[in-house]
Amino acid sequence: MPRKIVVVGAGTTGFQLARQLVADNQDVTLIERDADTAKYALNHLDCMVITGTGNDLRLLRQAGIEDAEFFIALTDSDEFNMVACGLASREFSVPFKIARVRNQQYDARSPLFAGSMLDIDYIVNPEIEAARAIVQTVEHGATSEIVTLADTDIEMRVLPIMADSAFCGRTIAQARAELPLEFLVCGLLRGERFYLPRGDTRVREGDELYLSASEEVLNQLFDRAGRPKLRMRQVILVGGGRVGSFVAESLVDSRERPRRMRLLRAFARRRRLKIIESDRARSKALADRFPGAIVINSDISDEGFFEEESLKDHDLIITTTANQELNILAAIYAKTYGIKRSIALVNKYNYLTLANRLGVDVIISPKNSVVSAVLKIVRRGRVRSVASLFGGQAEVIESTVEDASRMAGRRIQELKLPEQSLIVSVRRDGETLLPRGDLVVNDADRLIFIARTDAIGRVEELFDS
Amino acid sequence: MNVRSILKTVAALQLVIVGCMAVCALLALVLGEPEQVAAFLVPAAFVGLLSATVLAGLRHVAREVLLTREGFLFVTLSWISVSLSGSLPFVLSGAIPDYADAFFEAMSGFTTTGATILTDIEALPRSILFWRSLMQWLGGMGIVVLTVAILPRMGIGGLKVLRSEAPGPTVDKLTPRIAQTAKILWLLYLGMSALEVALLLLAGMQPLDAVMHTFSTVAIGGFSPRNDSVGSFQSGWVDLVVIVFMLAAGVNFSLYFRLGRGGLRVLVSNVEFRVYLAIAAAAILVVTLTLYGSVYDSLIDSVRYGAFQVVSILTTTGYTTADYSRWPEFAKAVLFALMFVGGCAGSTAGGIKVVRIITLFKLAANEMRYLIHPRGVFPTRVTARPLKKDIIHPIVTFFFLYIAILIVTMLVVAAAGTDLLSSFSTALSTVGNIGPGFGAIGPAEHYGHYPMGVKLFLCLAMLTGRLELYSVVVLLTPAFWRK
Repeated sequence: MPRKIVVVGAGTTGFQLARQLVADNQDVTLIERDADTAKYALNHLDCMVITGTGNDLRLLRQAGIEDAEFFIALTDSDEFNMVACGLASREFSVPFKIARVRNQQYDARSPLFAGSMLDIDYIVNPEIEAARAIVQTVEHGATSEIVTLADTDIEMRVLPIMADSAFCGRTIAQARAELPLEFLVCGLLRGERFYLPRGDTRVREGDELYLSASEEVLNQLFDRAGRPKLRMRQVILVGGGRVGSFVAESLVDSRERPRRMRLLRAFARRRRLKIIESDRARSKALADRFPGAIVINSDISDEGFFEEESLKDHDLIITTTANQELNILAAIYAKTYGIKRSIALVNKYNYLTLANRLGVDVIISPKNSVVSAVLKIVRRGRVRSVASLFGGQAEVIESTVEDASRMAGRRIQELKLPEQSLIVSVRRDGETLLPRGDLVVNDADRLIFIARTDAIGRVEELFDS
Repeated sequence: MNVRSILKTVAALQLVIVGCMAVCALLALVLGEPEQVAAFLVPAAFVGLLSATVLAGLRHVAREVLLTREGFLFVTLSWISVSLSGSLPFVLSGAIPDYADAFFEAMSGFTTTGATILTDIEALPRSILFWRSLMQWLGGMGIVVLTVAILPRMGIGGLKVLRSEAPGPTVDKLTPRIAQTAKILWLLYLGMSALEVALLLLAGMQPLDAVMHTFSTVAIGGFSPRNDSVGSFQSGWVDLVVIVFMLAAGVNFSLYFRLGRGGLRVLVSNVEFRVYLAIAAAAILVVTLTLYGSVYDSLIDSVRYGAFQVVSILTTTGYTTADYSRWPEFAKAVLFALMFVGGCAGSTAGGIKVVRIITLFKLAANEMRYLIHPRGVFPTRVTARPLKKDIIHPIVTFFFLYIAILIVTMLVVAAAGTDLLSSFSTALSTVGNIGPGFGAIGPAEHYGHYPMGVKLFLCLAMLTGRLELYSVVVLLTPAFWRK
C-alpha cells in the first residue's frame, strides 16, 4: 500500500530520492521553490510537484501533508529544514520527520533534537555519510565500493573485470566451479544497466561484478582477479572541506597519546596522510587541527606539483574538493602517475559510472548516501533497505521471516523468487549461511536480498502471509 | 608619558628599601656591630626623606594604571633606583669605599646576578653581608611578579608559549588582578624560603648563614657570605638542600600555584619543566662521568660536585662548591653551554630560558620541513596549541638581541684589555645573571679588577638581561621617547 511522503527540495538529492520512492510505488509530493527545477522534476518524475516554499502552511496542506507519513526536508539550508520539520510536526502531526542537516554542531545527539523543541526524528548529514563511506573503503584497501551487512561477516564488493581476470570470458557457473571459494555473484553492471546474472551469464571485459562473501574470501578473490588488497599507508587527501576534514579526522589520530605509545607507534609503520588544500586560510586551520598530517597549500592541478611532493610513491589518493570534475581528473591523473588506488567524491549521477569506467577505483557520492540513508528509513518495516546500489538501480534489503509467512519451512529453490532478485545470505542464530538451493528457510531467519528496484515490491510480497 | 605617575610609584618602592635598611640597622645592633647602624640609618633617612618629598609633591597626582609604554620605563627605573639607594650602606660602612663598585654590587644583588667585586667577603661586617643577600631576595621577589604577572601583559616573556597548558584561561593570569597574583606569588616565595631555612638549619648551618643563603638561593642570586661560597660548609646535606632549592626556584612559579589544584600532573604535563629537568639530568650525567676518576676518585663526590655546579650554572645561581676552572675541558664546556640556557620562564632564573630554546628548536625543525615541502603548512607547536606569529616573533628577536648584546658586552670588556674567554664569559655571566664565569671571573675570582667604565657597562648588561632585554632596549629607541 503506497505511503504518502512529502519531500521538500527537488535538488539532486531530493530528485533522486523522489525517483526511488516513485519506483517503490510510494505516493510522493515534491515541493520546490525554484520554478525551473520544479518543472524539470515534474517532467521527469511520476509524482506531484508543487512550486513554493516548504514552510508555507497553505501549500503544505495542498500537498496533502495532513495524511503524510513522512516529511523529508532536503533543501540546502539546515535551518530551513529544521524549521520545516518543526512545522510538519506541530501543525500537521506528521509521524516521521527527516531533515538534511550539514552543520555538525546540530548533532543528532544534541538535546535540541531530543524531543520537545524540534521534533526531528532523523537527521541525515551528506558529508558525514560520505566521509564514513570513504573511510570504510580505505580500511578495506580501497578496492571497490563496499557494502557491509550489519551483524554478519558477509560483505559485498564490486569487481571491475579486466581482460586478464579469472572471470573474463567465463560464465558465472564456470567461474564458480573453478574457484574453490564460497561466494555469490549477486549483480552485474554492463553498460549502464544492472542485472542479476544467472549461471549461464557470460562475463565480459568491462563488466562490473557484485560479489558477496566473507571478507577473507573476498580478499582472496580480489587477489586472483589481479586486485590484491593493499595496505593504505601513504594517503593523499585532496581538499580539506567538510568531507575532507571528516575523513582526515578518522584517518589520522589527532588524539594525544601517552609518550610510550607514541614512541612505539613511531616504530610501527603507520599511516601517513598528506592533505592538499588550495585555500590558504583553510590549510592553516587543517594544519592546526591535524598535527599528525602534512598539510600542503597548493592546487592539485598545479604543474609540477606531483613531482615536487613525489606523490607517485603513495598508495592512495582521495579527492574531495568541491569541484567534482577536478576530483575525477585528479584521481585519474594520480593513477596514471603511479598512485595505486584512487577514491573520488562525485555528486553528479551521470558522472558516477563514467568515473568508474575511467579508472577511478571508488566513487563516493554524498547525495547518494543521503538517498540511501533516507530510503532505509522510509522502507523500514518488515523489509528494510540496507543499501542502494548504482544510483538506485538495485537495493540490498533485509527482512525477517515470520511464522505465518509463505516462505517458512520451504527450501530456497522452491521459493518463487521474483525475476532480478536473489538471496545473498541467511542469518540464523547468530550464524551467517550462504544460501544453497536446498537450505530450508526457517521461522525467524533473517534474509538478505539483492533486487533490482523494480522487483522490490514483489520481494516484499514474499514476506506477506 | 605619565612621568609623574611613574615617579610616584618609584618613590613608593623606595620606601620598601628604607624599611629593609631599618631592619638591617636593628640587626646590626643585635649582631653587636653598632658602628654599622649609621651606615643603614643615614641612607634610610636620606632616601626616606627624598621619597616622602616626592610623594608629598605629587600627592595630587591620581594613581593611574601605567600604560605598557610607561611600564617599560617604570620597571627599568625601579631597578636602577633601588640599586642606587641600595649601594649607599656599602659606601657609608666603608665596606666598599668606591661608589661605582658599590653600585655594581647592588645592581648585581637586585638583578639576582651574584657577580661580586669583593675579594675577601668574610672580612665584611655581618650586617652588611645580610643587606647584600637581602637585596637579592628582594630582587627575586620583584622578578617573580614581573615575569609571571607583569611582563606577559606587556607582550614580553616566554610564558605565552605555554598558555594552552593552563587549565584556566591563561597561565600568566593566575588570578584576574595583578595585585592578588603578586600576593599569591610572594606567599609561595616566602613559603619556599621558610622551608629552605628550616632544612638548612637541619643540615647544620648557623641561622644567619641559613637565612642569607636562602635569600640568594630562592632568588637564584648566588651571593654567599663566605669566600668559598656554599663550598665552605663542606657538607653534603647543605649541598643537597641547595641543589634542590636552586632547581625548584628555576621552575615557573605559576606552576606551583596550580600544583594545588591540578596536582603533580601540572608539573609532568608542562613541556618546559620536563625539558628543564632533562637538560639538568643529562648535564649532570655527562659532567659526573667526566669528573669521575679525573678530578674525584669517588663516584659520590663526582655526582655531588658535578650536580651542584651543573644546577648552579643552569639555573644561573652562581654558587660554587668547587673550583670548576680546574676541571677537565669537557666539563667546563658543558657548564659554558648551560650558561646559555637558564631556568624556566616565570622563575627567578636568568638566561635565555628553556621555553624559548624549545620554541627555537621547534622553529628550526619546521624550517627543515618547509625545505622538503615548499608549499606545506606547518604550525609551530610547543604544546598542542599552535603558536601564532605574535608569540614566535618576539622569541626569535629575543634570541638575536641576546646574542647581539652578548657580543657588544664582550667587545666592551675586551676593549679594557681582557682576554677573549674572560670577555665572552663575563658577557654571558652578566647578561645571563649568573655571576661567576671562566677566566678572569672564574669561581675563585671576582669582578673587582675591571675598570670603572666596564663595571658600569656590566651593570647595564645585568639590568638588560634581568628585564628580559626588551624592557631596557625599548628605552634606547627614539620612537619610545616620541610623543
